[in-house]
Amino acid sequence: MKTLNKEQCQRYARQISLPEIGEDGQKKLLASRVLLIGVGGLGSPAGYYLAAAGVGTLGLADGDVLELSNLQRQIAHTTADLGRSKVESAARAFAALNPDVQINAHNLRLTAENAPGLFKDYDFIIDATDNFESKFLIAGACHAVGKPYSHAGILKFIGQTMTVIPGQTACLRCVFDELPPGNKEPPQGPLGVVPGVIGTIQATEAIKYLLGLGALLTNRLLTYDALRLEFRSVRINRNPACCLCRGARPPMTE
Amino acid sequence: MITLTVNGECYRYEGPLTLQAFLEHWSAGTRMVAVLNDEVISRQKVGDIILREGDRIELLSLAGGG
Repeated sequence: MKTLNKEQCQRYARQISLPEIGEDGQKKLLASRVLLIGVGGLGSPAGYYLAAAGVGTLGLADGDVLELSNLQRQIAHTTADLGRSKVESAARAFAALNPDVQINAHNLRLTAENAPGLFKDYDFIIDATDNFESKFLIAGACHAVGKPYSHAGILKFIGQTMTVIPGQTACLRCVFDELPPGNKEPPQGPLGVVPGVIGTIQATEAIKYLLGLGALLTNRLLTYDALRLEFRSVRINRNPACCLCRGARPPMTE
Repeated sequence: MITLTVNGECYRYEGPLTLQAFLEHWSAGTRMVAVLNDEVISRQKVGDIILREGDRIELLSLAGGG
């Protein structure tokens, strides 16, 4: 790996000073690739912190155009970006924060056809989408190509997140077997800062995974209730009846 | 009486009680997933499970927003 240049040494000085990271850890981050699916309420804070930390390549996948009602929570975008594609404005925001980061803008809607090919190029996937179908699609595609991911979802004042190493830890489908019925009512919420809290946890998990630090949020679903200001970590074992894990090969061993 | 921990809080219930009866009492809709002592229990099996003293139940539903 290349040595850090003078500017990088300064930019990342605070995290390099952590013995758990150091120069080697920083080089690892710079050589890492994270894909954010969705650059809205969850993806905005996650992307900002990953870019700031110097994750070398950030992929952004989103097919939406910015609307005024997004700006209450989707902080990577500005009022001047209204009508532009979200990947374009988010790419500009993250690049402005840290030009050291290579940003790949994928202006597309994720499908079962394009997901596996897209995921293959990345080390860690962040599910920052805003609908059940995409969350199930990401869980399935990550399982198929063996990519670790951070799942998250938001509702009103509630957030939840879990990290999954497919084939080794409980996955989204171990917990949620069936797609919930679609909601025809106009969306309520969320309070904008709720995805802010959860998106930053997703970024934390990505960094920990890339650096092999600490204990990941695996086999646990973290729930956050902003009104009670309470976090709960709910232990969940792998489900032998899980539609994805059932056919999984045992984890690779050295 | 049995003591159950539901979503981290203690409740006393008249036993015997199946997981299904508990879910009905709790008005847990079909979108709710029951996790009993860290194991996800499928809806088809909740009628077969008799809850025991000290059981931990978590009721979860998938949040779809982002």
